[in-house]
Amino acid sequence: MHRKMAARELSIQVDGKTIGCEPGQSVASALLAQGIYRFRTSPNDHLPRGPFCMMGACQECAILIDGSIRRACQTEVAEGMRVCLKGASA
Amino acid sequence: MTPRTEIADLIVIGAGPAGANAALAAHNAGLKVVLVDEAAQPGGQVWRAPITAKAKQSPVKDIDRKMGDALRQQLVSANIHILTDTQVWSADRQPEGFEVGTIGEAGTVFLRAPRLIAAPGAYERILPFPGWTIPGVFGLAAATALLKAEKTLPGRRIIVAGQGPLLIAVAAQAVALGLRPVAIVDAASRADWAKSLAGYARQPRQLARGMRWMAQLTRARVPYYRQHEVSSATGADSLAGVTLRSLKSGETRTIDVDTLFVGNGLTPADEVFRLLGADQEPCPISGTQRVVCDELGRCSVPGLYAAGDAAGIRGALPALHQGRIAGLAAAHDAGALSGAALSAALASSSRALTQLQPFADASCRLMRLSGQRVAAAPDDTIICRCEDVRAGDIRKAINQGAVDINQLKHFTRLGMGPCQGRICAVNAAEIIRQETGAAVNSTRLTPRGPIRPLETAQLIGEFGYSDIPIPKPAPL
Amino acid sequence: MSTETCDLAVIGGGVHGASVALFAARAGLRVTLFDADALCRAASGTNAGTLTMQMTRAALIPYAMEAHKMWTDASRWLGHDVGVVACEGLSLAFTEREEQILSDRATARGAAGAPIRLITPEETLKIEPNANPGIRMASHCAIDGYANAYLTGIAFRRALLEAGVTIREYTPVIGLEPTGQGYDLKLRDGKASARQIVLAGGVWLEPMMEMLGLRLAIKTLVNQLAVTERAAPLMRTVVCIASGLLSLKQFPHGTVVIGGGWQGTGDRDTNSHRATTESMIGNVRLAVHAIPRLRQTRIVRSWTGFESETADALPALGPIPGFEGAWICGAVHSGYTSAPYTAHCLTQAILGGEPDMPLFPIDRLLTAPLRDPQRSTH
Repeated sequence: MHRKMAARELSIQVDGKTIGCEPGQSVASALLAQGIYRFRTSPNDHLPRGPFCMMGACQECAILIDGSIRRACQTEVAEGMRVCLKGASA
Repeated sequence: MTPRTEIADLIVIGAGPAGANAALAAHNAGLKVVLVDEAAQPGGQVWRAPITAKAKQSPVKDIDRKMGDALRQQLVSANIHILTDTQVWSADRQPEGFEVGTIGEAGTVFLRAPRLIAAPGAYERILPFPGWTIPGVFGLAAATALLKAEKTLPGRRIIVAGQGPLLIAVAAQAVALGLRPVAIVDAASRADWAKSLAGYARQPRQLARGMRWMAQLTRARVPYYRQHEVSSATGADSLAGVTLRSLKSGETRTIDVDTLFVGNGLTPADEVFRLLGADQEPCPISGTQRVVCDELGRCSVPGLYAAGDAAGIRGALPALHQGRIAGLAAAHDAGALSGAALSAALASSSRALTQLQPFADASCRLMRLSGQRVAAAPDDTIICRCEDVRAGDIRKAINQGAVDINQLKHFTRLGMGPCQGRICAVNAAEIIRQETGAAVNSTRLTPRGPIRPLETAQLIGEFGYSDIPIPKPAPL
Repeated sequence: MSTETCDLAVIGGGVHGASVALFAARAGLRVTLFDADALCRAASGTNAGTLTMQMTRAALIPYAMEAHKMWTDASRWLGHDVGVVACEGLSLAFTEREEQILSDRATARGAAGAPIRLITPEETLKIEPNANPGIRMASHCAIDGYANAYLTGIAFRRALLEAGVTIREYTPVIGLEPTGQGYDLKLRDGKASARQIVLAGGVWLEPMMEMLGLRLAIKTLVNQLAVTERAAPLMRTVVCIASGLLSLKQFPHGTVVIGGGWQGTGDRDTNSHRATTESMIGNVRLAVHAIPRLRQTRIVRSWTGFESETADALPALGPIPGFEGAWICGAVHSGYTSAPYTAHCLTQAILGGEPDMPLFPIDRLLTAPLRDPQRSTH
């Protein structure tokens, strides 16, 4: 019981909305778990994009995390982290 | 402030099976080793550590998990100096050896050593199709990363597609999570698999695991489309449907899904070798290129060694031995190990490599992506995801006189985005080759640092104006 | 076919050679353009594209002003897009010494005709709100801008083909022989001949001149650049600093190119060059010092290219003494900016006319001839 509680002890802010996540989870995985697939738009044709390789190579999940552009798949969630999906791309 | 510098006898890039074992072997032989990896924990992709509570609590039956846990324990016991969560962004040759630029929690740190073992692993190849950029389409290896680290997969209705043994692994683990795939889409035929069986049979434990997975899939009645590929995907903001095409008849069918995992084999991660100017050669197994090295992993650049998939795709178990061999070779070349001691220590790993080769070959054959399939991409298929450069744009640029990939880059911006050509270059090369008959060496982008996009703030750290060494102004 | 004599062989397909070839062909000459690599793939395709007066030698300002008009009007005379943006330019001073440099340079360049004036920090911040508020002074030039250098090759290729120029890429010229009626060009597999020749090889002008037995020292700079990924609008001018060691501009698609002549390492003879981490960190620090918000971007790529310079940092532009019908064009610090116009002036001379502005004959730069005039350099 205690363990199950522990599994959801973190929350992050996604465009101002609070979402719960598990310690150790990547930001990308936390958003995917909420059904959020679209992270940004491509800068040239403004097409929707989301995480793709999940191992840091493709840069498709690079979004504004606590004010810096970071790969969501390589960034571990932290309490109170602010994630911005709007206006993250040029 | 000037960035910090660390000096060692040996730098090892990558803490997967190859790099970690290289570090262990060299450390045990007495070298001062620094091991660097981008992930939070060693293990690489295949032996990736469980990160969330859910993944950690799941029973340890899987061989990859067991091997990974053992490796992580060994690294701790041996007290290996390891920089995790640290990206390698530069690699330079200097008179006294190598300088590797890293960036991590502590900001920019330069590592210096007379020897460097690079074991950066591989990248997944994905056959581009119209719609492969829609959110909800993932690499197949993305699924394994999520399964290993977090024991989870996104999606409700999923398709697992592509080629190679990873298909079975991902589909079966999805079933185990209660997420039965709507379809498995495999480019290979039954006959292709049958050809690989002899190789797989040489590793009974791995074969048994594969058979268990197949049995699970059969029990769950997962539809299995052989000799099929994904020909397109649709969806506005995220994936809604996937169209499959028979490679035999060309017949298509469309299935409603929200998530697609698709992968078509691997290609060596070669940025470090190319930045350092190490010779490359075509890899007959993966169909792409690999770094040239001798049986001890020594590259054409003195002091540089390659180990693991970076030296040609072979998989995790061979990588373990390749790493150990490169670590011993580096120790020997540094004078820490006699020739006799080297030979004695090498024997077991050399034997193991020979024994593992048929298994590795079997997987590689199934994973090999033919150039023709890539070059057949319809004109509207995005090839360069960062810059939205389509197959038609590439063909147009070729018609306008671009004869190599570097010109193509200037003409179209292909490869200029943040992935730095990692995803698109190998596919664009196939289109150039098909259209122009160009040789492989003219289909390689000139290597440019940084190896990964760098957060500017992390790169430059805190500084004052007087810290900037401004050279003398040019004449008026 | 390879022995057919053309009117003009241009050796070197950078922006200088390509411009001369284009203008000469349009004037009716049969022109062949040779390059050891592809068109505009060396300095002309990899430079920062800066079209600034603030880093141009005072003596070149009149040429650069004319060239600036040409660049911004490329669609008319070139016919193809090089992504040129005309905008204002700022050069910033952060120290007392830099204020002095800035005001000396503004005076000299102003006297040469550039519309440069010194402005206060307040005015600077009005023009470029994201500039470092700690500046002490800036010089402002109404005429500045940039091209997208990597588009130079494709733009010129189209124009050259339309003008009927024969383009021979990946074809190094490895020997030159005066024949009395013109020149024989030795190629790797065969030869070509031309009535007149233009050497336009950038840093390789030195070995090219050696093929004629002449000694012209060309300094090779290995300029290093870096570029951010696409970012939201951060700046709208070309930003330099007083010492000239920074050039910064954001392209319409959002990337910010960071340059200024920080040095990488390289070797002209093997055509190899690479960026250094030290220059990258220094250059990016300087960029962030000028525009602090750049701190939030990511650097995706760094690269290097050779820049050529004569002993007095002024062009090598004119006839080659002692060689009838042989011309030289290039070796200009910040040469990309002035190239279309200096090439225009040289072409006028090649066609037997009077150039609109004086050439920069190389007699001043030539030292003792080589002992073995026909020595091949490869």
